[in-house]
Amino acid sequence: MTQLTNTSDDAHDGLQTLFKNLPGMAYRCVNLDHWPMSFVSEGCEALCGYTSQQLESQQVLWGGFTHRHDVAEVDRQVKSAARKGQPFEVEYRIVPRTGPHKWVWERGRVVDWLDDGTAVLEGFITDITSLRDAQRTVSDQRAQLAHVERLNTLGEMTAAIAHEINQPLTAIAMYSKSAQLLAQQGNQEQLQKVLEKLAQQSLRAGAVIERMQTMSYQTSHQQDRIDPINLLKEIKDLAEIEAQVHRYTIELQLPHVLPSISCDPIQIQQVILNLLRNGMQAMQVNQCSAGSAIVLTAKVLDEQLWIYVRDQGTGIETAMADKLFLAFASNKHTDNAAGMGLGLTIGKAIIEAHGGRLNYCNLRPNGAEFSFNLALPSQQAQ
Amino acid sequence: MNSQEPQVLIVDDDEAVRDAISLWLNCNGYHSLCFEHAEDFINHYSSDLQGCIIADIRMPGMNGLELQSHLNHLGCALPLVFITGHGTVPMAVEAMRHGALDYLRKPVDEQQLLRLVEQAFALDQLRASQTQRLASLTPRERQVAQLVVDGLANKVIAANLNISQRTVEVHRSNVMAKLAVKTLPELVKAYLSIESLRTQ
Repeated sequence: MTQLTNTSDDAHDGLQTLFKNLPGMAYRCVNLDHWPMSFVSEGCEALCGYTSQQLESQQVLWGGFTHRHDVAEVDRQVKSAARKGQPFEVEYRIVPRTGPHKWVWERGRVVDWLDDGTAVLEGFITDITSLRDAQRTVSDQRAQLAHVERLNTLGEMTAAIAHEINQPLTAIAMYSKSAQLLAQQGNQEQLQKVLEKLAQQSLRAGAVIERMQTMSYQTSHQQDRIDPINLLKEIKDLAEIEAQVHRYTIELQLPHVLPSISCDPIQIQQVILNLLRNGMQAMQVNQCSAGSAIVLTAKVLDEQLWIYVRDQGTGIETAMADKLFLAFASNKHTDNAAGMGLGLTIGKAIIEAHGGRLNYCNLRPNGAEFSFNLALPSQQAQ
Repeated sequence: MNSQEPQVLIVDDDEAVRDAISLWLNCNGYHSLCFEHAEDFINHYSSDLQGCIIADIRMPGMNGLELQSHLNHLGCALPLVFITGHGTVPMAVEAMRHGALDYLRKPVDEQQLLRLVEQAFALDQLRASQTQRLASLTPRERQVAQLVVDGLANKVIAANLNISQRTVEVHRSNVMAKLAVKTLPELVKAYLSIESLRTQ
């Protein structure tokens, strides 16, 4: 780019043509507020609706139509790269003279310093709106699929959930009828105790519902700052409903503190829940005895949060390994239609959308380990 | 509590369910005794227990069906009522095939529970009195009764047991008196029902 601009000072005709045909806009500006431009190529008109003269005369300023929510972040990244003498690469929105906002991709670097210490920047900006839209559609569809999968999972868990709710309901039915009799007999003292027990049992039923509810919400693209410890504890509680049916235990092994992560918590929980349920099913096939544990752990390694699910099941057969993440490939030998084989596929898509990878390996003497990583937000972004 | 007194023996791993059922039965005049695990109940079991058992099908450790098979093995004749949740109904049906009196679905209907306990107590009492009657027969009388029920004539029984026909007649009338029946069909019915209760 430096070379291009150097020659552009010579105002080469050929170079003018080259600039004209660029699918975007080349520029030179000073790194001051609103980035006043000293040179822009003709592509600017297609990009933002203003002519190169309007920009070069600084009648309009680039920062003036950069989306107000993005200005600060772009400024921060450019300054940070300039300080380090590195090129910068940013994606942000602009509001063109007419029409809806556009997404642009910009790459640039410092080419010179003015006497007062202001950086001179050169770079290239291009329209990536259609790419962004496509990404958005994919992401929407993934979110919908994840939601369907989540409801599916809850459906599959019905037996376990019904059991968990019927226990307190049975107690409530008996306690309330007993309370009626005690009231008739005027046994105040025992009546008080029974009423207290009644209240406890209704809270118990309520807690089961609450655990389920978090899973059935539809969320999308929600990238919140999340405490992984809470996230893992919540999902352990939910998976435990089913573990109790198989009489397995879920062992949560966590350090005291973990750095917060940026993710869609419901989707990540869905992935973990799926891994735990798959693990328990594999343990059932392997006829693991009551009390066997499936282990859920997390640790930080190389600026990444790693989450592991280790079961004591049959492991992954070599024949299954190749198509493990393909839709509708299921090795669940169950009678019900539960094993659609979508769980791992969606899990993989969710993890990759979060910038991580879903891995697995077989354990010795038996069992499998599934793990995935989520990038920790950089220190600057905090 | 005297173990001779009829009581409802409750086996359920869920403390609240156990406590609530026991309270409800107590309020309705029944004695009850609770066990958290099937194994605890097996340890407590003795052949002079009276009443009935209410057990959850799904329990950690020994489950309801395993408990039933263990009790059958011990010769326990106490009527057994299962409590079943969502998804364990097929197990309850299996339990009935192995002689369980009935099953209750969760959440349990408290009136149905009372009716079943009442029925179970009556059945247990009948079994106890009839077992007592059967126990009062001498070995020879029992032999004769079995052959009568099998449809053999007095003459054939006499030949089989190598005793006189007159002696067979005496044994036979003693059996009728001890089992409190007057006719042959009544004898057959009483004898078979006792035998079936015994093997339950």
